[in-house]
Amino acid sequence: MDRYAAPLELFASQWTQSPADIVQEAFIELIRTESFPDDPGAWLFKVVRNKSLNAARSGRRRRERESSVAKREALFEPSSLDAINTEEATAALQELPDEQREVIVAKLWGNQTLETIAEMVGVSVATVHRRYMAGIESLRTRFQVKWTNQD
Amino acid sequence: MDEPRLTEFEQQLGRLEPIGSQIDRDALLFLAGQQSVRTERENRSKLPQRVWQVWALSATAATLLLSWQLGRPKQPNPSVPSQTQIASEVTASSVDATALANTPQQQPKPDFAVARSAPAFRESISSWLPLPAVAQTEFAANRFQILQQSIDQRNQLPLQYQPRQEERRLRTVKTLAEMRHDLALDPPLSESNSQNPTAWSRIFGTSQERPL
Repeated sequence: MDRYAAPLELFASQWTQSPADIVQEAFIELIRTESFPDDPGAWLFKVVRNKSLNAARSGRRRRERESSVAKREALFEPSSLDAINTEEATAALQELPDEQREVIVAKLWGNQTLETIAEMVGVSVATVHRRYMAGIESLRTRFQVKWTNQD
Repeated sequence: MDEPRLTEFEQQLGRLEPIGSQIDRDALLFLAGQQSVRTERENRSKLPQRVWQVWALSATAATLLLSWQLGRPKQPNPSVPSQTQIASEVTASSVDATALANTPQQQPKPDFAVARSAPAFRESISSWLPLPAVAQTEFAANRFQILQQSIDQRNQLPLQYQPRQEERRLRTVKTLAEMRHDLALDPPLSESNSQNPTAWSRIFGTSQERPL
């Protein structure tokens, strides 16, 4: 639970205003499931994504009405040790397209593989990789960081 | 596709710590414990429950099969004869073989119910009973003595169960007359009636009752 709770909430926050509720429902569903999944992390990310999208569809109008007055919430804990400012990271992530942001969050903070993400999203691994690279390039440009390929 | 190694920029991004989870951990832990207890209890109770289900199904099937067998009418199975049938067939075949060896040809057994007179009876047994004619006659005489006794016993029955008096007497007289004729004790009926009327008197006491 400690390993997946925070990344899952960050993942769910892309679509819903109450990610904690979505993640809690996913954990309850995991507890009550008959056959425990081999990869609970992938299972949780998939369930959280589906629940978040359903919640986003049902509360889209309400969220759009409230979004104009809603204050942008921080996605990361503030820390002076990180080279990247958390507020800037939050803003940069929220400006990314949804398809790129979900791949980056699932990979960087959820430690999911591209293959798992591709299965979760329902696209090919190549497409996931392309979206990931595009999102990272956008963030790098945003932070004006020299992205040196370590390879 | 192999997972690409993270660049320094990606690693720096990944070091950002998401906002702490706001989920109710205590509630989840309570649910998890409750579920584990329930699962353990279900697993523990699965074996007796399955044994009970199997036993109930078996008992039901056995009851249905037994009731079907008991309710079905018994029918002979021509393809699989019983031990009794086999034994009777063996005995009959041995008797038939013995009779076939003793007699030149197989003859049907006499029908005692049909032979109502001594000549007819002797005629019927003549081909079946391997005895001389005299012995056959004695056999017929004994047979009709038994017949006479049965007729007498029948006459003791109430009137409603008896045949008419005249018919009974006629049948008795004719039978005994034929018997005596067969035994060569009397001449033929027509002759005895005209030539020796005392023969009827010896048998019936009076010649007035002679029906023919």
